[in-house]
Amino acid sequence: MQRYLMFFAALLLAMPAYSEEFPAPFGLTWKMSEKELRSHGFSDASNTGGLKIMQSFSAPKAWSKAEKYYAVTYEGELVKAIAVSKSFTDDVYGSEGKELYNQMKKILTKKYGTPTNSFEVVGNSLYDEPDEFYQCLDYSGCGSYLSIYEFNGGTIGIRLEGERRGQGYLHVGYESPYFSEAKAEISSANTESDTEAF
Amino acid sequence: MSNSHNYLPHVRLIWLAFVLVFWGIQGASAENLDAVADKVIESDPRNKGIEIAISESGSELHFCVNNIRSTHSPMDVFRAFLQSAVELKDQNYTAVNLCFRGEDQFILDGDEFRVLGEDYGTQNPAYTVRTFPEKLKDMSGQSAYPKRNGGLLYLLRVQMEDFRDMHSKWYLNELLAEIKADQDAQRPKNFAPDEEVF
Repeated sequence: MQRYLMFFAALLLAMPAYSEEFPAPFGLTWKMSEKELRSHGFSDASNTGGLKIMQSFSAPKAWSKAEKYYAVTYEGELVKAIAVSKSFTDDVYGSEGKELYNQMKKILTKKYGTPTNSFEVVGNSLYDEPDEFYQCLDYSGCGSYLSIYEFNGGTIGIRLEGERRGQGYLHVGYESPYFSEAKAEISSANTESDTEAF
Repeated sequence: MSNSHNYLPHVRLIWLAFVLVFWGIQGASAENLDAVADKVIESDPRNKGIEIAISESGSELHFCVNNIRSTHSPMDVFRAFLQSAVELKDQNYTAVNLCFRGEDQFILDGDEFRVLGEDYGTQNPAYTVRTFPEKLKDMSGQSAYPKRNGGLLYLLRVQMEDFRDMHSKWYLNELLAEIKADQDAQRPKNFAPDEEVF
């Protein structure tokens, strides 16, 4: 009997306990069900490749700058959460965007340490004028404003996105460790399916 | 005198028959227009979800947009309008009113409507689209858009701007305002401190 108890104790210790360690933003909880997400105002947006995307204009702990929230679920449970800010408009030099980006970077750095990766470059190709900030971010290879925090098995990313001249928004994404597991499972299932197909 | 007494019931009967036939024609006509609207939406999968209502008042036709889906573009609505013109090209309307939920926004001459119906499928659709706004009158009877002149590139730009503006004034501005009001109603009024949100 003691041997069985020890085995189960070892099994429990071996199981990942990400949810207590990797923070969930916007008052959400990792692995919360789609039903719970719906009760917080989320509704279905799309369903692709085994992952479901839900969207909402509100969240339990709402961010004052948010335009919309997205919740990504795998097998009915929350694995990734995203907020996009309201668009910056008439911001040709990207001043407003950079201000919010730096503000967010400061908050996240204070809580989760120095970013693992940070790229704050514009003007690499085509759009190299200072007043083409968002066109540059929208053009592949021109530049990016991106900071990534790897923390307790999960990843937090903030990224400025360009839409058109003078217009862009900030993207804040939290990928829990469960998201990586989900991607691995989906990839494995696809490989098996491909193998069967041939 | 006695003759007129004998004649009177016949006259009444004829009038009654005339009234019945007239009402029958009117009812059938309204039903036919509903059938045309249904046929236009159902016969083309790209039109699915566009809500239109077609009705008559005297010799005028009213083509109303009631709702569209977020996936639809002005081109989809215009195609449904042209397909309705095909179905109704044999009717002699003096005018066709473009309306949004029963409220007329623009007037198209009945002959122009007939020509659109006859030309559909043979005339270059880009030409039909570009030259449509200049055929419209506003509700005061003035030309809604000027007849444009100039080089092809200039014409392409300004006529397409007119086409987009026409759709905005016809139904899009109202629908977008409605969607925004609906979204704003879902937004939270209170926000958590950033340190708690992230």
